[in-house]
Amino acid sequence: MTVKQDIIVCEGVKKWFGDFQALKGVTTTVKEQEVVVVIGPSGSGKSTFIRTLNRLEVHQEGTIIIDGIELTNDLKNIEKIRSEVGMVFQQFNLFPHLSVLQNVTLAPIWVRKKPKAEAEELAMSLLERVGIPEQADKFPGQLSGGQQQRVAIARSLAMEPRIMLFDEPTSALDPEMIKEVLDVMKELALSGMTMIVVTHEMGFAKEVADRVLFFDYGLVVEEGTPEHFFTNPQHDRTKLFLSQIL
Amino acid sequence: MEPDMNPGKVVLPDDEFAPESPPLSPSMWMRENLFSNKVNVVLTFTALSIIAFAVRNMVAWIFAPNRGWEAVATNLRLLMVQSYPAGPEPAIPDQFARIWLSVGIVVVLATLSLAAWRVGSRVAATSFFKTVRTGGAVLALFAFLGPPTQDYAFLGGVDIPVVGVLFRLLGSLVTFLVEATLMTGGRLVVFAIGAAIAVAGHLASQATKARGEELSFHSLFIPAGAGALVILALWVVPIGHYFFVEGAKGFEPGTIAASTKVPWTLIALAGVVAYFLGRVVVKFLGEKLLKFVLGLGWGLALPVIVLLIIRDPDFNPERDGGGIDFLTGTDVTIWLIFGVVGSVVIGFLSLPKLGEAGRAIAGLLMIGSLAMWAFPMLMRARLIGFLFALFAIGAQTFAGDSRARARYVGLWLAMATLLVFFLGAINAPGSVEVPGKSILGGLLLTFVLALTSILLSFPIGLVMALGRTSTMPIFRVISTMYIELVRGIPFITILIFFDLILVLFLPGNSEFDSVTLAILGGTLFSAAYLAENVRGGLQAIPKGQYEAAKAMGLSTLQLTVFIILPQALRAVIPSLVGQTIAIFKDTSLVAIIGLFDFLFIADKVIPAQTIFLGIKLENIVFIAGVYWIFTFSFSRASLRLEKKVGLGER
Repeated sequence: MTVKQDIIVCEGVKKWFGDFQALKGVTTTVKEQEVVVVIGPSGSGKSTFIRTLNRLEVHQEGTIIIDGIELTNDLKNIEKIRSEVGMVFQQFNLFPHLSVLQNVTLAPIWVRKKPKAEAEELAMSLLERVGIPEQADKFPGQLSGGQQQRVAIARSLAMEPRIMLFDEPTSALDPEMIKEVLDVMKELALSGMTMIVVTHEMGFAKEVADRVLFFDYGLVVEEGTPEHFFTNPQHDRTKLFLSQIL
Repeated sequence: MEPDMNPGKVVLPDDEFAPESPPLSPSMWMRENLFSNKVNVVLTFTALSIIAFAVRNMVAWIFAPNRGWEAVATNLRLLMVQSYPAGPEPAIPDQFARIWLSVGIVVVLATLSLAAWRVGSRVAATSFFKTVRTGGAVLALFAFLGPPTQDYAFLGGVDIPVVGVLFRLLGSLVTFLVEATLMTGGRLVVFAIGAAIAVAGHLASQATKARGEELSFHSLFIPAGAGALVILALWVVPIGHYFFVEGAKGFEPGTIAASTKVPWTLIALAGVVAYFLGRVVVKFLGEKLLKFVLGLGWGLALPVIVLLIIRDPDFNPERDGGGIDFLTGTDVTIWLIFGVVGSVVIGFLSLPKLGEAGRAIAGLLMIGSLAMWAFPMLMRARLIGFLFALFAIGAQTFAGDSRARARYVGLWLAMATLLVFFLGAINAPGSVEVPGKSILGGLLLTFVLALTSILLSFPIGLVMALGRTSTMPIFRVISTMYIELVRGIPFITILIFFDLILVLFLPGNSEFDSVTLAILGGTLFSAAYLAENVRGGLQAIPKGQYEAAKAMGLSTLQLTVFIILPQALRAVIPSLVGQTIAIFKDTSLVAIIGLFDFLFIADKVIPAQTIFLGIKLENIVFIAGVYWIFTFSFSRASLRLEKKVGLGER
C-alpha cells in the first residue's frame, strides 16, 4: 500500500467577521482519498472553515496549504487551487439561464480550455454517473431539488478536481430526495475522492467517513473515527450535541 | 373494463380528455365583472359616461369642418424627412430613393428574421372571428358617440344654483339620447361599417365553429392582412394628393400620390417575398445558416444605410473636394494597421500556451494605447487603439479551443472594420446637399438619434454599472461620479453643453456636426440611466451565483460575461425597454440646439407657413399618434421577448 500524502494542511486558521471571531485557530490535516465529515451546531464555524479552503472566505491568520500550494492573496494560486477543488453548496447554485449540459461544460471549456465536443462527452458521462443523463437539455428550474444537487455535483466533477468540498449538500432538500444525493456522494467516496463534507446526516458520517471533526465555538473540539466518535465521545460538548441529535 | 378499485390506488384524471371550463356568456361576464354589487354598478356607469363624454368630444374635434388636417397632409414629407433632397428645389436632384431603399432593407431583414426565428403561433379561427365580431360591435357603438349635429348652447342658460347644473346634466343626457338615434351622414357610415364587420365576424365564427375547433391559421396573417388592407387603401381610397405649388396649396383628387404608394407597395411585396424565401431557406438549408446570414445582414445594414443616406454612392473626392488621399491616407491605413495586423496579434495572444505572458503583453499594449493620447494624432486612431488593447487583454480569457479563437479574432476584425468605417463616415464630407444645419430632419432624424444613442449607450452603461458594483474603489468612484453627475443635470443642459461648449475643450480644429453632438449627448445621458437600471439587475443576482462560478475557477471577467450579465439583463428587460422608449421620446429636445426633429416641425415650422398660419394642434395630435404607434408596438414586442427569455428562470 502506498503512503497517502497530506493534501490539506491547516495550521491555526483564524477568521473574523468584523468583531466576531468565527474561527479561533483550526489545525487539522487531511490525507489523500480521505473522507472527513464535519459536524457541529450552527454558528460553530464549520461552513466558514470549508469555505476558507477555496478562499470563498479569506482567513486572516494561520496557514492553509492545499496540495503543496499555500493560499495567499496571489490570484494565480487562488485560481489554480479553485480549479483543483470542487465545491457543492447547500443551495445548489446552478446557473438558471444555462441548460444542465451548459452548466456542466462551462468551466471545462473556459477554464480548462477543452474543445467543446470533448467537454460535452465528459459532461454526459458525469451526468450518467449521477444518474440523470436524460435531463441534459433541461434548465435547472425544471428539475427537482435532488436532481439539481446531483447536477451541481456533476458540474464540480467536470473540472476533474482532486478534492471535493460539500457544504451541507442535503440541508435544502425534501426528505425523499436526500437519499439520492447521499448515494451519489457515497459512490464518489468509494471511488477514492478526497472529500470534506459538512453535514447533519449522521448516518452518512457513520457509514462513509474515515474521520469526524466536531466543531464548536470556531474550534475543532473533538476528532476521531466514526466508531470512536459515536460510541465513545470524550468531550462534554460533543456528548451534549450527540444526545440532542441522535 | 372498470379499473380495479382496491383502496390506496388513486385513479388520476386523464389530462387529454379533461373537460374544458364551461363557457361564460356575455351577460354572465357582465354581471360578474361590471355589475357584481352596488358600488360596482355606480363605478361602471360613471366610467362609461366619462369615456362616452371624452370620445364624443374627441370625435367632434377631429371631424369638425374647420380642422386643418390638410396642413399635415401637405407637409407629410416635411414631417417625415424634413428637407432631405426630394425634388421641389430645382438645384438639387431628387435623392429620395435612398430613403426608400433604406426602409426596404430594414423591412426585408425584419421579415427574413421573422422566418428564421419562426415568430408567431397558430391562432384558432373561431376565437379570431369572435374578436372581429366584438371589434365591429364596439365600432358600431361608437357611432352613437358622434359629434352633436345642433348647437345646444341654450341648455347652459339657466343660472340657478344646483337646479341649473341639474338642468344642464339632464338636458345634455336628453340631447345625447336624441342625437344618438339621429343616424345621419358619417355616423351612419361608421355604424354600418361596424355592424357589417360584427355580422361578418359572427357568421364566420359560426361557420368555423361548425367545421370544428381545429381550424386555425398562422398568427402572422393578422399583421400581414392589416398591412395588405392599408396598401390596398392607398390604391383605392380617394384620400387625394396634397402638395405645394409655388408656396400655395395644391390638391389633386383621386388616390394618394404615386410617390408614396408605389414605394410602399414595392417594399411590402419585397417583405412578403423575403419572408417566404426565408421559409424556403429554413426548410431546405436549415435555420442556422439563415440566422448567420441575418446576423451579418443586420450588422452590415447600419453602415450601408449610413452610406445610403449620408454619403452619395458616386461621391468623387477629386471632384467634390476632400481629395482621394483622404481615403487611402487615413481610413485604409488605420484599417490595415488595426484590423489586419491587429487580428494577427490577437490571434497570437490568444494562444493557450502563452498564458500569463499573453496577459503581460496585452497589459503593455494597453499602456501603449493610453500613451497615444499624449501625442498629437487622429482621434480615430486613439479610440481604435484603446479598443484593440481591451480586446488583447480579453484574448487569454475568452479564447478556448481553436474555434473559439477564430471567433474572437473574427469579432475583432468585424469591429475594427465597422469602427473605421463609422468614424470615417461621421466626419467625411457628405455629398447630399440641403439648405439648413443638417441633412437629417423630421421622423428620420428622430429615428437616427434614438437608434444610435441607444446602441452606443448600451456598452457604456454596462461598463458603468459593473464599475459601480465593482469591488475596486477606483472603478467604483469613477462610475459613481459619472452616473451621479449626469443624472443630476437636465438633458437639455447636456445637449446645449455639447453643442456650444464641447468644441472649446476639444483639440485644435475638431469640428462636429450638430447631429453627431446630439448623438454624443444622448448617448452619455442615456448611458447613466442605463447603468442604474442594469445595477438593479446586478443586485438581484444571488451571492451564490458568484460563489459557484468562483469555486469553479472562472476568472472575474468570465464570471461577469457568462453568469452575471445574462441573468442581470434578463431581469431588467422591462426597465431597459422603458428607457429605450423614453430616449425615443426625449429626442424631441434636440429642437433646442437647432435641429429640425419631428416635434419641432409640427410645433414651429408648419404653423409658420403662410398658407397654414397658426395651425398647430392638428400637427401635434398627428405626431402624438405616430409616437404612440411606435412606442406601443415596441412595448408589445418587448412583452413577447420577456416571455421568451423567461425560459429557464428559477
